Amino acid sequence: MTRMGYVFNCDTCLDVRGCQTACKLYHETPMGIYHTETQTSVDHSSYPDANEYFLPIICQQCGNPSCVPACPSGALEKLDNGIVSIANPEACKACESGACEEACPYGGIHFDKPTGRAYKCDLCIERLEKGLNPRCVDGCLTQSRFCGDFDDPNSVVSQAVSSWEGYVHQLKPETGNEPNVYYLLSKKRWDDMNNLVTTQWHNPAE
Amino acid sequence: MSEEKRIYGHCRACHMNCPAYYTVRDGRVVDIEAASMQEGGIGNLCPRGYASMQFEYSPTRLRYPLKRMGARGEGKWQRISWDEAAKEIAEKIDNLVKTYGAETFVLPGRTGRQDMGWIAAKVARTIGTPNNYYGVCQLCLLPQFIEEVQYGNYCAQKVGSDPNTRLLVSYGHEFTSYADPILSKFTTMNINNGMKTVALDPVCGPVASHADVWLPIRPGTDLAFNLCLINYLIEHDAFAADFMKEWTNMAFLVNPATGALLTEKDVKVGGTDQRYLFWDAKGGSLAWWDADAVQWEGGKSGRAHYDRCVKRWNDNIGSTELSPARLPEDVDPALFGTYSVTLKDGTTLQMKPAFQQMADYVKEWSIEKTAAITTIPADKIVEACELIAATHPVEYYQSAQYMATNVSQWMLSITMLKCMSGDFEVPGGTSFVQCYPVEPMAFPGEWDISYNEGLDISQKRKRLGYYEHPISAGAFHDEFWTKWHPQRPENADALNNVPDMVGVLEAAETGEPYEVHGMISISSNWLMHDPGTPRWLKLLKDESKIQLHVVADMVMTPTAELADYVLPAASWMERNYLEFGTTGATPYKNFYRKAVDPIGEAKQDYEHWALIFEELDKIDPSYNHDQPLNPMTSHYFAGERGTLWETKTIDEERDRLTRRFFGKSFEECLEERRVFAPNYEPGAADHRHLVAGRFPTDTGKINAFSTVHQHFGFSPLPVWDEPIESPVSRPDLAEEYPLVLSTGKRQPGFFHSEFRQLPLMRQLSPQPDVLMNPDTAAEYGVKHGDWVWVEAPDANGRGDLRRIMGRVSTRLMMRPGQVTYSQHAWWRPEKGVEEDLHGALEWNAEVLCTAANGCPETGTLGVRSMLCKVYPCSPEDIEKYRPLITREELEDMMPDYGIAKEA
Repeated sequence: MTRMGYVFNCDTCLDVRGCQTACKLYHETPMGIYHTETQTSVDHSSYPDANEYFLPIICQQCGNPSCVPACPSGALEKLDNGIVSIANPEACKACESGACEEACPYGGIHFDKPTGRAYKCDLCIERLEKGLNPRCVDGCLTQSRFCGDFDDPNSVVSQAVSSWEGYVHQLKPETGNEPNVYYLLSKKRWDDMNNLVTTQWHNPAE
Repeated sequence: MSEEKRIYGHCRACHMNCPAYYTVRDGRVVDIEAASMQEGGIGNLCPRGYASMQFEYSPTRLRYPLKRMGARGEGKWQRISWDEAAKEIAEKIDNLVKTYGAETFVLPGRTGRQDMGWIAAKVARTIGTPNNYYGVCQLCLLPQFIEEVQYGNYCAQKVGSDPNTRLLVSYGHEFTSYADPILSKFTTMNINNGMKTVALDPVCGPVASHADVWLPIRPGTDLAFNLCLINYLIEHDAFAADFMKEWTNMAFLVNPATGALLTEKDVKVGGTDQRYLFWDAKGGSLAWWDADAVQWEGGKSGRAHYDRCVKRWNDNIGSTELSPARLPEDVDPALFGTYSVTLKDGTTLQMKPAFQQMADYVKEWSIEKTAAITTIPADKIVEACELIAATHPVEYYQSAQYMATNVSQWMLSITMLKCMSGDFEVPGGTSFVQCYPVEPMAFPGEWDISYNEGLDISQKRKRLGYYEHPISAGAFHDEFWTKWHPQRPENADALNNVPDMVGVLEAAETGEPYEVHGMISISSNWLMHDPGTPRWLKLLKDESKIQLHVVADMVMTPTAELADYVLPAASWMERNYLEFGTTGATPYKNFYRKAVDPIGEAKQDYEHWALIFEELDKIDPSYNHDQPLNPMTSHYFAGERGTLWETKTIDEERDRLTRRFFGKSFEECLEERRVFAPNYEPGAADHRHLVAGRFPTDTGKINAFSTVHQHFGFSPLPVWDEPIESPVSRPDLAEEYPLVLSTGKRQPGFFHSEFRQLPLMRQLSPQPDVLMNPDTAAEYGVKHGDWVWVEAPDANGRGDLRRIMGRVSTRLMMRPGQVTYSQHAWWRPEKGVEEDLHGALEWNAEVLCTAANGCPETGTLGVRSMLCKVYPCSPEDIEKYRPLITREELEDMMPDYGIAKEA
């Protein structure tokens, strides 16, 4: 079995945005669409103890994804390697609903009305096939991003999760979506998606 | 058939100068990658580095020389040839010089990006004006270079990137995340290896949020924290007494009759002022340190050894042998106490060592008093002091840009702390950037090759602010520092000889002390970074005041829209490069190739002026020919005479220098990529003061008691000074403007005014943030996401435009009672010139800044600690200003690859 996913180290993310810049240049996503978007988690009630840190919001490559069944055209597919992929881009373009985006509890998939299709992280699958890292991993200046197979106990992601036991977190585990993305955080209190703020430009809501 | 090349070049989107490979296909840059660490690169590029391809082909790039038609700021331009531009500009320069004197020309500041700094300095020299690089003491790294006053050379700023640093004390910076993000790679490694951080910052950005202790400090009061820390370290006996006794002037007695350090000349007829007196606790009597003989009384002289180091230095050979001039074992200079001294006129006075005076002063800086002044919770102050007292080596990162009206006293407090740490010239602590005479300078620096030092002293003394702000505007530099030693910094910007911006503004407005009529803006978007915006606009509107404004830039900026002539500059991808360091000096030089030819008719800045001065030669050859190059106090070109602009192109100029100093052509150097001088031998890598035996200052020691400050009538030891515009100093203003205002905090994606037009970067930060604590925001009836006006009081030199818009953001935790406008230098390239010069006013933090009553020593304005109020924007405001950038506007700023091909 293969179960590809990410580990992000929120102890070391410094909000540099190298990840999303590398991704956007490579995938040429439209304005306001980010496969990975670095956001700030800030809990002001802890002032002057700064419970503030940075984390990427990205497709969680769910074991039980909400977006796949929500898609009216069947454009989305969970691949054998675990990646949730827009396997049928033509079918995706035929849609106008953005039901995938509505269904996703994580903000991991984005429907862009002007181009009429959805966008999401696919772990740079064509690079993985050549043994290369996803672009965001190489683009991170603080080495805070790791990609690998959670079904391989020797992978960097499996090792990270086991060695950081007690400080490994997930976004909204209660959804039952079984996300395959883990966030490491030991220096602050994990705040899930409760207090997220973004600086980035987004397409205005219709 | 498509032609593809991979070229070793570099990214110059900020100071850090990261090596990069450019892929060029059919004459166009199509990709950029970091050079690996194995080949001497950094292994990464930051977001702006990758986005720089959008810059290279941005539709905002200037391609042709332009001449103004219509009024300034109307946006009416005529394309002219380089020949026409050069002729007309040369003629106008000569007219103004001959009518008003060369000093009528002023050159505004710019960021330190090399390539332009020395060229601007050379332009100023040729014209004959001393008024180059004003504004930098208000807005720039200059406070760092004030270290030359106390150490003789300035010190490296490593920002926590040195793997040996165990503790970083960081004052108000976001360098490593937003300004020069490549540094985050190294500081993160160090944090992972156990480096601790104490971060003072009113706003908790990435650096502070990752610190071990965050101190949410009231802007402009970091000096108070330092005084408290000095007191704490003394009370807890946690300072490096041995280092201070031997290497600083802290044990030297202060003569209350003069306020200066006591010398043998004061106590003995025929005594020398080179011998500084202290109380020897072991011997129970006065003893001396002789700066000239490099000798402690009873110890060995290091003079001959020092002279040998100097001789080797002159031959590019470094020194590693230790000086014999050590403090003898049986001498113990007292740092504390009061001692009776009889002067040569017979009077007996009680005198204290400088450090006793410091200790006396800081006694009142208890934790409680400091908490009240700084508004930092007392327990946090204690936590920080404890960590600092216990951890070594410590790097005090005093911040590139401490822009407060107490900056000079603050720098004195930083030096005091660095001395007290003892971590000087220790890996991971404070180190010299260049250490005379231990580490040779085998290639002339930017300042040397500009020949600006060769300007006659009578002209230099006309520099605006020269006497009023002696530490920064030249009196220290010309009357003291240049006589201490001949080494000039690699970085032309790293000097204390910059005109005072307020002095320039007032001279232009009033004609006092003389008239200012010419502005030459080289790589300077000054409208976006100089306070006093409405006053500057008024000046530029009046053609009888500013009679000539020449702007050289890569982009049609708001400042360029106010020019009479616009000269298109080549980007860093369009020219070969010989690297000068900004924050360090190396014994070798790095060389990088250009990736592509300049677009349109753009030229590298040197070539602009080679053309203009060629025309000026025809009018009057004396500007350029038979001129003294550098004076005898310099190391390079000392006493030589010649032509200032010998060559026509930048490559020829570099070839001239590499042949002379490396014995190699520029092309050979480009091939080799890294070249050492042929006869160079390295000196010691650290503890270089032990090799020299003295510091390159007047006393031969670190002037923690600043002899220069004392000479000019300023306090030589740090004393508290409240910022001139704060709730404490101006309760009258604070009635209507109760919020503390800070400006200059960085956002991701930009570098000062640059890169607003790159869609990739603009999407990261689409508009300025009005950072506020959520409780404070609620108190003023606003919340996250609201558009507000931020307005400053009518005081301290501001004009009639005193408010700007921004979007409230509570993204970052911060102290209450404050607004931080993040960031400065916002303009709106998506808007046309007819809308306030591409939206240059509505988001321009300079509109809020004070433009008077700067720091007495340096002229520094308090742009990070002022007063303001906030109130919501109306729906009419939103309709008028359209603050939310649209998708169409972003798409219109996408790169235009067609310009790569244009002739």
